[in-house]
Amino acid sequence: MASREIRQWLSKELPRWKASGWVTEAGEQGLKEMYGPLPERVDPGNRLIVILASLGAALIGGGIILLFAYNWAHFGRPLRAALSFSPLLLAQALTLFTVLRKPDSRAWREGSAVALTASVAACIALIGQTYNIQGDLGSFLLTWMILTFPLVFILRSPITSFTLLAQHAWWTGYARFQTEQLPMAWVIFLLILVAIIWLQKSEKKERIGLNLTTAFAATYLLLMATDTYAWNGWLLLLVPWLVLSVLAPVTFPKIQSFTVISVLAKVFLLILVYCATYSDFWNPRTIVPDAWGFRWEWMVSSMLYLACSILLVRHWAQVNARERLWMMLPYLTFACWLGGLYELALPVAVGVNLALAAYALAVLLPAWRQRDDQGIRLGATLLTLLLLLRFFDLDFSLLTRGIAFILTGTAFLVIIYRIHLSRKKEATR
Amino acid sequence: MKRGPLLFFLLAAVFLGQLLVPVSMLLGREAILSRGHEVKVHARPIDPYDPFRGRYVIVNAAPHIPASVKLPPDLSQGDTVYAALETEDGFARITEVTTEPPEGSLYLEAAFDGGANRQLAFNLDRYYMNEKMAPAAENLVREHLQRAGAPAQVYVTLRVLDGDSVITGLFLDGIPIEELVGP
Repeated sequence: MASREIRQWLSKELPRWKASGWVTEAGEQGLKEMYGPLPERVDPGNRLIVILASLGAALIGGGIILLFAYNWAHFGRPLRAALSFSPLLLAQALTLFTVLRKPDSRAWREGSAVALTASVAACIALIGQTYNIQGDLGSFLLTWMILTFPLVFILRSPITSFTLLAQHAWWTGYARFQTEQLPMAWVIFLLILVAIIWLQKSEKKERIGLNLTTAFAATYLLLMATDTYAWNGWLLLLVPWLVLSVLAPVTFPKIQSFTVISVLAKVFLLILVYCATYSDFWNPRTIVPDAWGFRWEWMVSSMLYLACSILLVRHWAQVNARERLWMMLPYLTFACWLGGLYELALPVAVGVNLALAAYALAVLLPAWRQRDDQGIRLGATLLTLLLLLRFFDLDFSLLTRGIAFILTGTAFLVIIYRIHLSRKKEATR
Repeated sequence: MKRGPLLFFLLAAVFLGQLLVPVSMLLGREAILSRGHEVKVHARPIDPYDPFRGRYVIVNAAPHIPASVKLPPDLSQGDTVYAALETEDGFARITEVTTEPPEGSLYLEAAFDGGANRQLAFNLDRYYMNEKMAPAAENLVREHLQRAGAPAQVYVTLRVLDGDSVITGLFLDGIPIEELVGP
């Protein structure tokens, strides 16, 4: 039997060959016997619909929560309590409908998982707020994780597994000074890993988000093990070092293991870039470390920047546009850092947001036109994360965020509807 | 997806758990609000933010512990204690601190914070307000506390039942803070 890559390629090419008349039914059967069973083709367009449906549901849900939060003070206690439960009950009804009627639809499964995860958080948060219930963010995140964990298994949802990892990262980051909670943090992390492994094994055909989740899990494991959370503004050392790691396979093409290091460095850099979309990240007090000013730190940083510059000149013609963007990151970081020093944290953060959105769209749109599955996944995921993180952005009022979320979510649903209509037309023709 | 009985059992258990947590939070607080005893506790608010629950005012509320009140011996940091309360002009004052819930009197559960200064943590910190009112409340309270002459009296009202409590209002010189900073 041929390797999976060859069979995947054959599975992609065979319909075209048959349509052109190069291969007959008998020929197709012969190829299948020779190369082994061909993996089922998943239409990249369907994957985009899954991502857009999940994102649309999350954005509209988030927008409604933000609008409620804006008007909250005007509602009485009974109304607030009733409103707190309504998103949860609706999301549970949606989940039940999915399990009963749409169990094989990825879009419905992921959409209802996202809606239920968000509504559990909303319900606990709103009840907590209505009754001035004490308790810190750590206990809130822990409760949320426990109540949403089974959805990975019930709805076979990679997005939920990714959300769980993000919740866990936040929770351990929040509770890192409470040493008694760390053993429990490791136990919960292992449970999430078990869920991811279970998903990898059970979801053989559709692996949307699973590879990303696994990469995130590996990087996060590394972070937890090395306590990299504790880095405190070592941005000018960290970013060029990570960029050098990203470029390692280009610099040393014969060393295979550098590919893994490069992927991990990319994921770590992406996490940093997402953190950098908040203006507080560029506030000088959070960037300049207390110990900053030691000559060796400047020297190491300068050497790393010099190495990056040498690689930039050497590899510029060899690499594609995406790799070139990675190569520019140390200089962009330095420029943003300078902006932060001159109290331009908000414009710098807005710039990072716009740059990331432009990058995501530059990946997504050509990929959509070319039906490039990997590009669609990457672009849509980058855009999704960027939009969802704005839920927690204090630079914009609740009203602004709420309206923007609902409008963007509705736009995503309209796009899905249009795709659906155009497909229906194509089918009729 | 296999729709076996196990899946539906799991789904029902998850739904039930997701509903029970907020329902138990709600019922517990409603019981305190309807049957609890109201007391006032001095406060000193500052304005922080919770990414999920929004703006709140840290009220730093804790009943006064007179010097005459002795703490139980051999307490370690984090130990649960019970502070029996009496009220004077509505304000709570601690009369006794025990390791068992006192019978027949009003009391609040607390954690021993350790140290020589006899600190008890009452977990009475959060009073939620909207994003405009919370910082305004903090500024107003700070101005009034710093004013020359008689500083303002800042307090929260609590409903207390069986050691548990719910904050029902934040007041500045007897006026609800919402009236002072509201639109």
